[in-house]
Amino acid sequence: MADYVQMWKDLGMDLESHDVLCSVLPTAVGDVFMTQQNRPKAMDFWDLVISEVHGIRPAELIEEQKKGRKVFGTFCVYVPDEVVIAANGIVTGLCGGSQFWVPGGEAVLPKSTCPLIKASVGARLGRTCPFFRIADMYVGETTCDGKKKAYEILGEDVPMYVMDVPQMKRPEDIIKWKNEIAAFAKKVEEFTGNKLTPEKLNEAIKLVNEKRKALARVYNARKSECLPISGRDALLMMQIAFFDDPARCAQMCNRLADELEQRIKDGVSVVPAGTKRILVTGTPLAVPNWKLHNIIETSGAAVVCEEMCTGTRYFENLVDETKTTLDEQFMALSERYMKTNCACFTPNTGRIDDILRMVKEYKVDGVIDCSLKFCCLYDTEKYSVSRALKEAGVPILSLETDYTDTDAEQLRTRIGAFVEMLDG
Amino acid sequence: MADRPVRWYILFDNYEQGLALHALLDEHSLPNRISPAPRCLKEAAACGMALLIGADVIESVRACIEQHSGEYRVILPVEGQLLSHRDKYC
Repeated sequence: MADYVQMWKDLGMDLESHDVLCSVLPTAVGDVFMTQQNRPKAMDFWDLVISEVHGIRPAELIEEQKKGRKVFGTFCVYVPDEVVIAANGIVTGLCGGSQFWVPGGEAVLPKSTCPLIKASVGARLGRTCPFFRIADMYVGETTCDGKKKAYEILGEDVPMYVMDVPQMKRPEDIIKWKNEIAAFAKKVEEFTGNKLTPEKLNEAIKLVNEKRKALARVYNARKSECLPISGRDALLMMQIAFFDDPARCAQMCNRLADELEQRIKDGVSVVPAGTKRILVTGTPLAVPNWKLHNIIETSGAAVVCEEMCTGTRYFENLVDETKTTLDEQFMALSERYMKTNCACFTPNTGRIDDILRMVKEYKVDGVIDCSLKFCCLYDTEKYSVSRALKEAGVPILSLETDYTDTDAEQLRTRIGAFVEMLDG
Repeated sequence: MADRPVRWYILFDNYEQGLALHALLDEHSLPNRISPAPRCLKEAAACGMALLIGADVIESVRACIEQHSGEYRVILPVEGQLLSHRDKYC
């Protein structure tokens, strides 16, 4: 990635440390993706993006900044991209998924913080991720205590705006979130210098809905008994959706979906008939966190669905496009976003309903409920998720992991035994 | 040898050059995949993108490139580079 060195220098990045990260990424990508047989041709787009992950998209963002556009970095699927896009801003996901960044986060956070938060803070403070350098403003949210405190630290280094996510889903909470969206819109207007209009917000709502529909098409193809794409490839597509241009994301996902639908018609599967189908649920898998999927899919099973933020929670449910005033549109946004079933809510029975529905839709043989270490919320929900699945007669394996490689053998043993049990 | 298969990597000056060759090989139905340039080829690579070519088609790929004056930086073999069970993530 030598042709981006000047750009990284201009961003104030620590090139020496960044080079260490660059040295491990090609091996992981090679092992996880290039070892697969019969991958869809349309994956070439995501192969290119990941090959130049700190080059192509960051360079695009910088070009847009030169035209006066602002880049907003986000950490959660609750932050409404539509508002930023309507003000001619750009959204880029910032969640850190690499162990490389964790020690940098541990320098300022307790070790008993989840690796996603530690990696995100480490990526910013260590100056080793161009996306964290480029974002003009970070947008946080109150979906967990670890993030709330981390945002205070990040806020000392970069402009930070935090949205207060309700913790329950009563009618008054939907209104509360609508008001939060309205307040965020005001902040975005101030920061970008661009006024929101109902017309612009409607265009943005339609754009993001198109992206959701395209992602859903790919997921719908995964419901087929003839599985046309691996879980690893679908995960890569989903991870990159968080920082790609939304129109191009929709275009590329639709191109991939076209190929997958044709594969289903032609009976082309990436796994032998009878391969056990796994639904993965739990905490998000931020790029480049591919450990769980790689271990599952090299243990004789296939991942067919992710009930997580880097999965169905990102694209299910559309925003109503028929509203004509900003007030009505903020309410429509709130109604859609509040359907996302995050463990920060109490109660959160909707997540269990979703998992049970998806088990049927995706013809799932077994569920793996996996949370990142120190994520108290998802770890606690394992009890009720496990109980509901057992009652429904669905085999379930509950796991906890982090970004290190050290538990890979242990995970292989447990996942291998689970798949063997499904085969039995 | 069977345990350590040789794969070939075509390296480029920039990704635009790589995408042009990718399109050329696709046009001639020659199997190739966009891949990060392996770290062991760091000194030879100018950009992060490479094309990964199986040993069984490398001669056909070379012939196609020569015939159509395809642009690239260098073509290099790597033995045993890809291991699905290595469990070294990043």
